Order: sequence, then C-alpha cells, then structure tokens
Amino acid sequence: MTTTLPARASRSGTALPRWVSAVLPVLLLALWELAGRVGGSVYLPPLSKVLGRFARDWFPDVIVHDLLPSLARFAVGFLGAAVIGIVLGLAIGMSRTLDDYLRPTLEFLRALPAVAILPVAVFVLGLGNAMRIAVIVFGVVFPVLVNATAGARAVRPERVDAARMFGLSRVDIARRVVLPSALPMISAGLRVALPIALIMTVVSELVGGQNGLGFYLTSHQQMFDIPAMFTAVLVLGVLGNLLNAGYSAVEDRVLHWAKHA
Amino acid sequence: MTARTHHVALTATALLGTALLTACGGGAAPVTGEDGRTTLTMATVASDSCAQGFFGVDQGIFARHGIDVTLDVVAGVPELAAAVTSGQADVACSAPTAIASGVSQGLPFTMIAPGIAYTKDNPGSNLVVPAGSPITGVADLPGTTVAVNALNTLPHLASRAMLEDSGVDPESVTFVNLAFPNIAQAMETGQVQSGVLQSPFTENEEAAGGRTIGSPYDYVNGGQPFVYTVWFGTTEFAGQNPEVVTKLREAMAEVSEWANDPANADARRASLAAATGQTAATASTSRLSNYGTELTPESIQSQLDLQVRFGTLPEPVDAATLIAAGSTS
Repeated sequence: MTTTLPARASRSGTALPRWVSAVLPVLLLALWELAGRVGGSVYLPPLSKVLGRFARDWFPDVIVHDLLPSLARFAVGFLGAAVIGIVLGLAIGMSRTLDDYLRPTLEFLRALPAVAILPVAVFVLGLGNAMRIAVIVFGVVFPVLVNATAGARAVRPERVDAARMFGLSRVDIARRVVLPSALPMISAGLRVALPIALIMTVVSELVGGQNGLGFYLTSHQQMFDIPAMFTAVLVLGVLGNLLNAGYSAVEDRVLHWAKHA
Repeated sequence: MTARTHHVALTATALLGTALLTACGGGAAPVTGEDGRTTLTMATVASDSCAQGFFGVDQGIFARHGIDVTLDVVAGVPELAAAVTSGQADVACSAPTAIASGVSQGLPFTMIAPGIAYTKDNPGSNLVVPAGSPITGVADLPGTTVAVNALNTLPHLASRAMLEDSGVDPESVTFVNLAFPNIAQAMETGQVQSGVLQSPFTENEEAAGGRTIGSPYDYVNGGQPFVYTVWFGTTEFAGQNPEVVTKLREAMAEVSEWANDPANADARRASLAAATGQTAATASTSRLSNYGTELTPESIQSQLDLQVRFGTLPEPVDAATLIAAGSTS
C-alpha cells in the first residue's frame, strides 16, 4: 500500500472562484438549522441550539476538562507513532534482511483493525494515558511505516552507492541521503495518519474514561443529552479539518521542493 | 424536503454512533387482533435485572394474558432506548434514572411496569473488593478507583451518596465505567481497587476470595424498598393503547409473583441460564433478586431525587408524571 500526495487544485486556468467551495457547507449548515426547527425532533436539535450549548458549556469547562486532554493524547500518540514509523520504515526499506524478518509480523499487525486492539490494551496497560496513547500509536504507526519503507526503497541506488563511496556510515546514509529522498512519501503517510490519530484518540477514550472528547460523547449519550453530543461532533469535525489544514501549511513550507519533483 | 431533512438527521445521528433514528418518531403500534390477542415486541438485556420477559414467555404467562411477546435481546442499555424510539420494540427494560434523564431531555418515554426491586436484605448491587484487598469499609476508599458499569447511572449515584453519607468526600474517589465482565479483571490487575457488581458477578468475585463491603443501594431510599429497573414505552404507545398497558401491567405482576416465589427458583435459574448463556453452575449460585409487583411513584421517586442531588437531572421531577396511565387508573 503506497499513498501518493493528494492532487493540488490547479492554480491556474478555469478554477471557480474560491467562495464557491464554501457554498455547500453553508448550505448544509442552513439545512441542519431548518431541519431541526421544522422537524422538531429531539434527535436533531437545530444548529443554533447546539451552538448555544457550545458557547455555554465549552468555555472553559469542557475545553479544559475534555478537549485539552484529548489533544495532548493525540499529539503524543501521533508524534510517537511518527518517530517509530519513520525510523522502522527507513530501516526496513534499507535492509533486505530486516525486511525478511519483520515483514510477515508487520503485515499481520497492519491487517488488524486498530479498534480491535482496545480491549486487549485495557487489560495489558490499564485505564490510564499509557493505554490510550498506545492505542493511538498502534493505529497511526502502520501508514507511516509503510510509506517510509516505500520511500526508502525508492531511493535511487546510485545515490546510496555514492554516499557509501564517500565513507558515510549506514546511519549517516539513512539520515542524509535516504530520509530526504523519502520525505515526500513519509509526509503522505503522515497525512493519512492524521485523521486516524484523531479517530483513535476518541476510540481510546470510550472505555474506562474520565475525560476527553470520547468520554464526553458517551457520558452525554447515557444521559440522552443530544445537543451536547452534537457539540462534540461539531468540534471533532472542525478539529479534523484544522489539523489537516495545519498539516498542509507545514507541508507546503517544508516540502515545497518536492511538489514539482 | 422531508426526505432531505431525514437524510441530514440520519447522517448526523449515525456520526454519533447511536441507532436512535432508524425510524423517525413513533413506535410500532402493537397489533391487537379481532380475537383480542395483542402482539408485542419487548426489548431486554440478558440479565436478571431485566429477566421478566424471559420468564413470562417461558412460563406462558404473557400468552395467558392474551399477549404474544417477541423478545428482542440487545447488547446494552443504550440500545434499549434506541429500540423503543426507533419502533423496533414496543416496550423495553431500563433504569428509572435513564428514563428520567431521557424525559428531561425531551424524549417521549413513559414507565409501564416495575422490574427488579431493592430490599435491604437483597440489595442486588454490591461494592466488592478483590481478594487480599486492604479496603475494609467505605472509610478506606479515598484515593482509590471504583469501577461502575456506567457513570451517572444508579450504581454511580448511589455510590456517591454512600460516600457522602459516610462522611467521605465523593471527589476523593475516582469512578471509571467498565462493563460488568471487565470489572473483575480490572480489580485483579490493580487498575481499580473495587467495583459495584451485580449478580452473578458478585458471586463470582466472592468465590474468588473477594469481599462485599457494602451496598451503595442502601443509600438510595434510606434502606426502604425501591424499584430500579422498569418496563417502559413511548408516550405515544401508552397513550394510544391504554388497554395494552393495563394488560401488560397485569401480566408483568403475575410474572413477578411467579419469579419471587422461592418454589420457582429452579425454573427461574434455568430460564436465566438459557437467556444469559451462563453455565448451570453459575446460575445455581446467583443470588435471585425480587421483582416489584406494582409501579408506584414512591417506588422510584428516591432515585430521581438522587439524580437532582448530584446534578444529573437539572430540576426535581415528580415520579408520578413518568408513569403511564393505563386504562383503569
């Protein structure tokens, strides 16, 4: 499984004006409001009611109690998995032996739905942050690892040979030659992993939780507090998009050279 | 417009992982045929606290009252509410606290018949510590973690009341929610130091050396009896079918009397074992609780007051407003 960089919208030619892309979301939100008001169903509170609830409950209580802990777990889990995935991926991509040793095991683990690991993780690691972060890492590490492996393998052999002739050690070759060449692929893997990390953060908080967005969702479900559940869904949607946009911005700055490579 | 409305609603609700909206509004009306027999779908969970459905079917009690019951066994408590709101079931078993929460949020629920009841000598819910635990009483709980099967439900609220009424700050104890089967293992591995268990999990834990150090339910109604599961439906169902409500109430009362009779304990355990997949050995050691025979406001009011006390209900609720009228009252 390899992932390619998502296609960029063409910057020239007959592109529609920017505001056009905002029409559909605005329309959907308006429709939500309308459906909530007209339908009068308790299961679909109007957007305005959800936003009112958001303004009342989230500043600062829910942000401090649930959002920030979730973000912290997300960040630690994502970064931890990124480091593990990149290091291991490069090593496997550069070493046929390592590849032979590890591939069957990794293929097996990769095929496991990450959510299935949750009950096991609870028993092994308990109910604390270690379990939650481990679950995030498990979900995130494979897309990164697979892409890092593919990126490392795609490095032109003559570059590695040249580096070796200059007497660079394996670690130096990995750091100075393989890693830069593999960066676009690694970055694509990280981008795929980003929403997975968010999903796994919420999933990890569904069991034995005391805070976090996943905990907030389930505890309000138990009390049939539907507007509160919708605030969490909205926040998760916005959060996912912000993270993606933020990542794109970083990628544009750091990897702008690779766009045309 | 309506189709789009429903579509948006469905998408949004599906996002939440709830099945609440599979059919928008309105329960499936029970069919009372020309012969006077009523066809009813009843949702329940496979546990003693909601087992009257199994007994009533197995003993032919519903059938004798002219009700042909289809049992719909679901996995967990949230699905019970979903089964009723979606029309998948006409009535379901749940906790009065859950019904009160739902009603306070605008859900159209009403209670029809009592389920399991607390009595001082048979509380049904116990605070259990594992073998070798240094905890001997409520006073030892500060700084520890207690597992409950769901937060903000009766086991949790009653535990908080137990702490507070025993002079222990409830904030000094951490509560986590774990499914009953997981609580024993969490205690074994030291993740939690005690858990609020029900039968047969209490007996399993005691067989493994665990000890019961108290019952949180003693603190719900001052040790007086109360009903902590109920059969409920939508207000629409109860309003349109008062005679079915009454018929079901009478049938349920007979089921409760049958189940409460010690002479029927073996048959009851056999039904329970078949329904829950317990082994005969486990079922034979389970402590059997009593079922309520009449649903009165007094039998549930104390739980609603507890919800208000701990802030899970925004304002006091009169239990009488949550009970369906029926055709004779």
